[in-house]
Amino acid sequence: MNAQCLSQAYAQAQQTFLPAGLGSTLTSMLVLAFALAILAAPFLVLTYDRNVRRLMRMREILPVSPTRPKTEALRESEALNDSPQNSTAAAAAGPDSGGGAVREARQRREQRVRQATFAAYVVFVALTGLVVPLARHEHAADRVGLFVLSAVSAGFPALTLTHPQGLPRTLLAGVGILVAGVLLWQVAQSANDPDPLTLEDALYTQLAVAMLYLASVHRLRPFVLPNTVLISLALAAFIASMFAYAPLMCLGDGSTPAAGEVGAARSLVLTSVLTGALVISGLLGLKLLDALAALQERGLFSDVSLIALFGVSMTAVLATLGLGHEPVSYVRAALTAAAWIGATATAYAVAMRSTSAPPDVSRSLLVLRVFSNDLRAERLLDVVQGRWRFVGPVRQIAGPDLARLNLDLYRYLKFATFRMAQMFLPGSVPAEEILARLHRRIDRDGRFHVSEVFCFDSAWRGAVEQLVRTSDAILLDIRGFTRARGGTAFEIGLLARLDCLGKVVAVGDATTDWNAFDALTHSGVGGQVLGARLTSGGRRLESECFETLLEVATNRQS
Amino acid sequence: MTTWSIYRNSRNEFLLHRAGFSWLAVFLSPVWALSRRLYKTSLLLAVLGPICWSGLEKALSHAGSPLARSLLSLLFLVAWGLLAGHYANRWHRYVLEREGCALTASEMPESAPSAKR
Repeated sequence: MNAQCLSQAYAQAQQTFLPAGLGSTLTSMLVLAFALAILAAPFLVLTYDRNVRRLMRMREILPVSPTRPKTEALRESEALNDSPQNSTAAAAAGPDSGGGAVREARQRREQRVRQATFAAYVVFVALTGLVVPLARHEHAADRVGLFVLSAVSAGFPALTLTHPQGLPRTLLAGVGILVAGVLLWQVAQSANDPDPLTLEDALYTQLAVAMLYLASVHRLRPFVLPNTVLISLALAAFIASMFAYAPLMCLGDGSTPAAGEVGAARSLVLTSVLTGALVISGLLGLKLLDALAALQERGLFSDVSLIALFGVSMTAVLATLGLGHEPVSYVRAALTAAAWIGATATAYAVAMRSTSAPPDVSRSLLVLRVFSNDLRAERLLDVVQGRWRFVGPVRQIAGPDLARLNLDLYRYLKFATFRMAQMFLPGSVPAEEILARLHRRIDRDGRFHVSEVFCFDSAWRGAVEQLVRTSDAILLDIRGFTRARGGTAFEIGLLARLDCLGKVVAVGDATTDWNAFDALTHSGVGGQVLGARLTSGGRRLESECFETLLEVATNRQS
Repeated sequence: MTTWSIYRNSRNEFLLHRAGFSWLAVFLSPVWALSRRLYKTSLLLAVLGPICWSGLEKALSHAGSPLARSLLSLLFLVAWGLLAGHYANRWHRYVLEREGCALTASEMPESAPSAKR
């Protein structure tokens, strides 16, 4: 092996894997990883759903010893929830625990988020206005197009922050038409240019905007960020391993790099290097996500903010690429994107800090429902829990219908490392263990957590009882409830037995067997009145349901 | 159709076991072993696979026509995959039982009434 051969081997590797330089390859890798992350997300959703469904069917055979040591999750939860300032119970017992204070706190939390989001969006768009004139494009239409598309794409994360319950379809359709219109206008304007924008280019741009929508707004969004991190690192590891392998091409006579057949020994080394690099990149990616999950668990930011920041970052990266400097200076492009993202995030943080914190009061919501794949039920629960996060913590027994909506980094990591079983309660466990699993903290951006309790079939009854006792309001979605739904019948009977019907808002429809429901509720303590009964069908069911729940929660405590 | 069960180790951690054929082991046996936390098995499979493949290439290099070599290689791959898929989860259960893990929970049939919620 000599130096000349080595330099030839590296030159070959560079020509193959870094044909346009490191910056170009890294950028392409990031964009490719982003696209692959979105493509992989639906399959991961299906796998995640199937795993949850099957684990929920588990039944405990050998009860776990009551004197067993505390699980890792329990110890972590206790440490996180120890702060008395954030305890729902402590807050409820405080002097400002009246209904008015709760409503005021909720309004101020929502307002803070809206103001901060507006400030961040304005900064992003203002910076776009400063950056776009630097673009290579000679035609004004290209610059206008780039500005409009960047502003629209940055709107997705902004709307995610201010409308966590989702966006109206008409608005989304309008945005799609606007983007298509701008692109077609650009194509028409640049028709006589020496380097015109083609329909193919316009299609790719439309695709990029659609990807940003999927990463920020669509229900696949919880999977996109972690997938992108893991796939980017895997691609980087692949290229690094090819460079690590390059010296082996000079084994043998050592004068020129070997070509063609790699041989048995080299094949073994290549496989080992590649496997090792992929394993290391996987571990590194999981560690990185673990660190992010730890920060999120400690309330530094919420899952919604993290997704929004990711959406803004990808918008800035893609928009920077759209500036199209030639020859491309990737260092300059990276600095531009970093400044863009940094300024936007700083504006959000500063605006958040500049407004005074709302009163420390909260009310917890428990969501009970008939498990179904009905999109209406999913929509209602999504809207209500999205809004309730400004009022207090949301609790629910995890089910296949909502599990993917509430996926955060912690759960993604359990899923990605094949350790989902560790999230589940096996059987009857002490109340303290169930309660310790519930997050009561509020994030710095003013949102409470959605706590899902994952239970085996042999555990959920005990868990529901503890949750019913400790929640301030209960949403009972019984659309599709019949006598055959043994699990839901148990929950309704339990509410009656525990004298908790007063804090229940029941939502039913034409498919609900109200006779069976009434029979179950009358079997409990006499004279109980249901908090409210709503019938599905109206266009404003979500708002009505939220307001009624808030009223029930505040009236019972004030 | 695989059947799932949960084992508990000495540190009170739940370990999922899936009985039956494993398609992941057919195509990516080292990754399958990693997913079951069988690190030594994963390492062994990662090393053994290329060694066997290289040995086979060498053994077949002087035998018969290219078509015959390709067919024999394919046959080896299919046999290797099927063996891995068939024995992977049995090996996992053997390791769990040898390490003293206790069977803690098992899957109910989908039609069980209590699962209807």
